[in-house]
Amino acid sequence: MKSYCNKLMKSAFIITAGVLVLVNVLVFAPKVFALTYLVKPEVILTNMDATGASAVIIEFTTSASNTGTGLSLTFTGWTGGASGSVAGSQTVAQNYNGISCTTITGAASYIPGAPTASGSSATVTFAGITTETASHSYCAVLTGSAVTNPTAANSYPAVLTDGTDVAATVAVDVITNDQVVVSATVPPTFTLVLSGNTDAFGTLSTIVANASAGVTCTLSTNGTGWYLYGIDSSAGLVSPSSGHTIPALTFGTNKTISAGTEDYITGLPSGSTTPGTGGGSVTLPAAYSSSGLGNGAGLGNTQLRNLASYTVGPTSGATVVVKEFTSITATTPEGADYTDTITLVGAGTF
Amino acid sequence: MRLSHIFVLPVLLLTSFFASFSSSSTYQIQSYSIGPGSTNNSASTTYSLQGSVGEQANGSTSSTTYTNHNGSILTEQLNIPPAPTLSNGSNTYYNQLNAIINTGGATTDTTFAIAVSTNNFTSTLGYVSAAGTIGASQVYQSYIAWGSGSGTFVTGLSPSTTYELRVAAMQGKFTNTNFGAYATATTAAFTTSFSISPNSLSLGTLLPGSVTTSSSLTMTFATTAAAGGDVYVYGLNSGLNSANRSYTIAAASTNLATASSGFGIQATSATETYGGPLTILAPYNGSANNVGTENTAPAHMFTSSTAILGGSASINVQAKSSNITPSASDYSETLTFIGASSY
Repeated sequence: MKSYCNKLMKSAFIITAGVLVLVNVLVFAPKVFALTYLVKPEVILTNMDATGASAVIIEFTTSASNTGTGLSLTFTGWTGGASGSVAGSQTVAQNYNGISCTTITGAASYIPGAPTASGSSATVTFAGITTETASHSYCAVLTGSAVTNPTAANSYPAVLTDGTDVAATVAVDVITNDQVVVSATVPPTFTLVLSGNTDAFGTLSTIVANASAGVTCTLSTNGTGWYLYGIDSSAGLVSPSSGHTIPALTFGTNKTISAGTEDYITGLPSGSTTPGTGGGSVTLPAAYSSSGLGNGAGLGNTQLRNLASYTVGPTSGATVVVKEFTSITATTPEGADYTDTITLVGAGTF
Repeated sequence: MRLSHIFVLPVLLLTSFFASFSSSSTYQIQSYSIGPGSTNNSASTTYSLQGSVGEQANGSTSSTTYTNHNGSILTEQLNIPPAPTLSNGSNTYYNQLNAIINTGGATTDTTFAIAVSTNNFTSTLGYVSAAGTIGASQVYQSYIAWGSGSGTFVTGLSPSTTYELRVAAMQGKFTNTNFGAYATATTAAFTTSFSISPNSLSLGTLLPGSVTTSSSLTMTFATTAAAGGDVYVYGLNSGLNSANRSYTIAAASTNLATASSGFGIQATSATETYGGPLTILAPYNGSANNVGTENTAPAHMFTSSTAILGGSASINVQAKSSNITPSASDYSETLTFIGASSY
């Protein structure tokens, strides 16, 4: 009996163990891989105009677990014609018009490796990208006419896929006109400023050539240069009280005057010319180029004579000094009213 | 003793088949009774068993929002949560919705699960996970875990799509409720828009030594991108160029009032009707005659760090010539403005 009960118990337990099947309702939840996402993906069309050809600048930040190497950009529906298109031949670069995409976008790095790209249908597929760094911002440029925008202005989706992150859908806007043309006019200008309107000899000496103090002419222009002209109203120094004229020499020939001969000339000391901000040099005609010691030529009173010129370009603050020289004899009639009027005329060239 | 074991085993067998609610991997109700003088073995710190006497036999009736158990009298029933409060961010959330659970007066230890549908729960699209994505399993979390009054974002949604969300509750001593009434919201369209006008500006005659300011450009920018977007500007000539004179009044970031000459851009205002803010970036945020430069590569001019609607800004260009800026009537520059969104 005891043995029988033991056997019965064992059997019962076995049966129980077999029957008391723990029915584990296993909720086989789908094995869920935590999804990761690109951070702030951005696609920049350098030309937003409808039908325009555009380079493309991309920027994105990888997620904390993305160290992938695959990168692609799809302009959804841009399969050709009015729908827009993606060029088959693509060039990947770090710079756009000489400026790094990191400067343009603020991304930390250009995409790593030796990236290349090619286009097929609506997708640009990159190759040659090496392992990216997680949580890192990258940029790249598809240069030239990477895409041709659709003919209709609208907002269009594009999909940026990088590594193991979920493909990011962005929107690019195609508009009628993304440009502003600015226009302006700069008018021609020329100025001639004289340091004074009188130029006195003082008391003339009979033993040396006499020189006036000189008048400084300051010239500025935004043209291609300037010319300075002069004309003598009296062709000499005239004394109304004595009725005598110290005659001006003929124009055209540079001469050094000396005491004992009545002469009257105009000269521009070459050492006193400056070209101004435009640089280069001022040209003095040989007749009026003076050493400052009494050489020059007569101006005459029949026409304007070229005294100086400048042909380098715009300049500001060019200077020349116009001087008169005279010599008299012991018989030159006395008078305190010997005078002459020289008219100086300047003009810019444009 | 041994005989009692024999008799207990069949009882256990029956119990395991017909009273699964009263056992678990950690406890097992041996027996229970109702009424005074009971053996008091129907409750512990972690469970309680309540019984009722008498029941009706008419089954139950139900709708999408209630169930009436006519066939039994429930001693206690957790409140079915009301519809949640949904938001699409004033029509800026294109791939997410914000959901705030209405607890319906539930106790603080109540947990909730959120179901999602796109066809008024003709079928269930899925259930919101703790991460906010939609999955196949119901995930029960406390009100606090679901973001309390700020709610939680349900992500991975499609733009321009109407979603229904409803909530079920569960609390320690009670079975979980059915899902309650649903709320409806529609995600925003997936869009970015940008414009600049007019498309031409004349500065007229630049008098030497004087700063000339153009009339205003108007720039508009809007995006549903969660991370906002940016506006860039670049030029063709890096300044005002005369082809006839082969000369450029160079663009510069400078105070034109004191500079001898120059050209630059200035933004004078930036507003938005929602989100943003639209921010003017240096060096374009100067006043008076302080301008920002431009060259042949895009320069960052405006930014918004969040979705933005009704973004608008005024822009002008300024120039100054000197007395040696070559005279010409064909000075020009072509500025290109670009709007891009950051998702």
